Amino acid sequence: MLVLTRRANQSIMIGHDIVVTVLEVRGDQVRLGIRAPRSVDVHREEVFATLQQANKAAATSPRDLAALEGSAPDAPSAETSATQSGESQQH
Amino acid sequence: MTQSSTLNPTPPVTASLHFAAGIPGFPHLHDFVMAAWGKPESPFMLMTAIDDSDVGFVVVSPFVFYPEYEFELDKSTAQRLSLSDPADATVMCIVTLGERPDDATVNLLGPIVVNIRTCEACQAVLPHAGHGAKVPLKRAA
Repeated sequence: MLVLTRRANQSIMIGHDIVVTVLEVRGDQVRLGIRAPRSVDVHREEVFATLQQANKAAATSPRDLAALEGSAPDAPSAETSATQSGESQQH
Repeated sequence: MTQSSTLNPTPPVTASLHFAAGIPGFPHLHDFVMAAWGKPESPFMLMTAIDDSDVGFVVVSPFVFYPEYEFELDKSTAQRLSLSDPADATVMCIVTLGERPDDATVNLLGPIVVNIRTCEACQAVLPHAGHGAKVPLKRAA
């Protein structure tokens, strides 16, 4: 891992077109400004990790899914979701 | 842009979607075919990776289960999908199936946004909207 020291308003370049600027340091928090091309996704790591895990948990072999088709969850019908939401809890 | 009420609630009828950036956890998979899945008249669709036929996702319009679901699409995502008119967008969310049908959850944190004119798609990330990645499909009464 590369470790750099920067002060507020100083930046680092990542490649040719990604600029990360330290905007403010206050206590244990650091505000960063990130300028990156549109093709580059920028996410908080923990949010991205949550999505990665959720996607991996959701991914299933389509062959297995074909077998599960008959036990797919039911969609709420217009009436049951609006007025009879208790009914579907019975079984 | 982007209130749920102005988004097109119907799943795309298109045969395939292109994710230029892949999706988190599967950055190498860019193209998926869509097919009907579930019981007849089911709102669910099966999204299968063209380059890896072992990877499939069940997806559904979130508005079927959560009609009040809404979020604001950030500008860079809209630009990336060349979305200028909300009428060109549709939203689907990934479903995680459980042991029993009642255990299924839906990912409202990372909705799949599609430009239905171009079939370009991406999984948006909504850290500020308060949506969860594992929301029960079946609501507690």
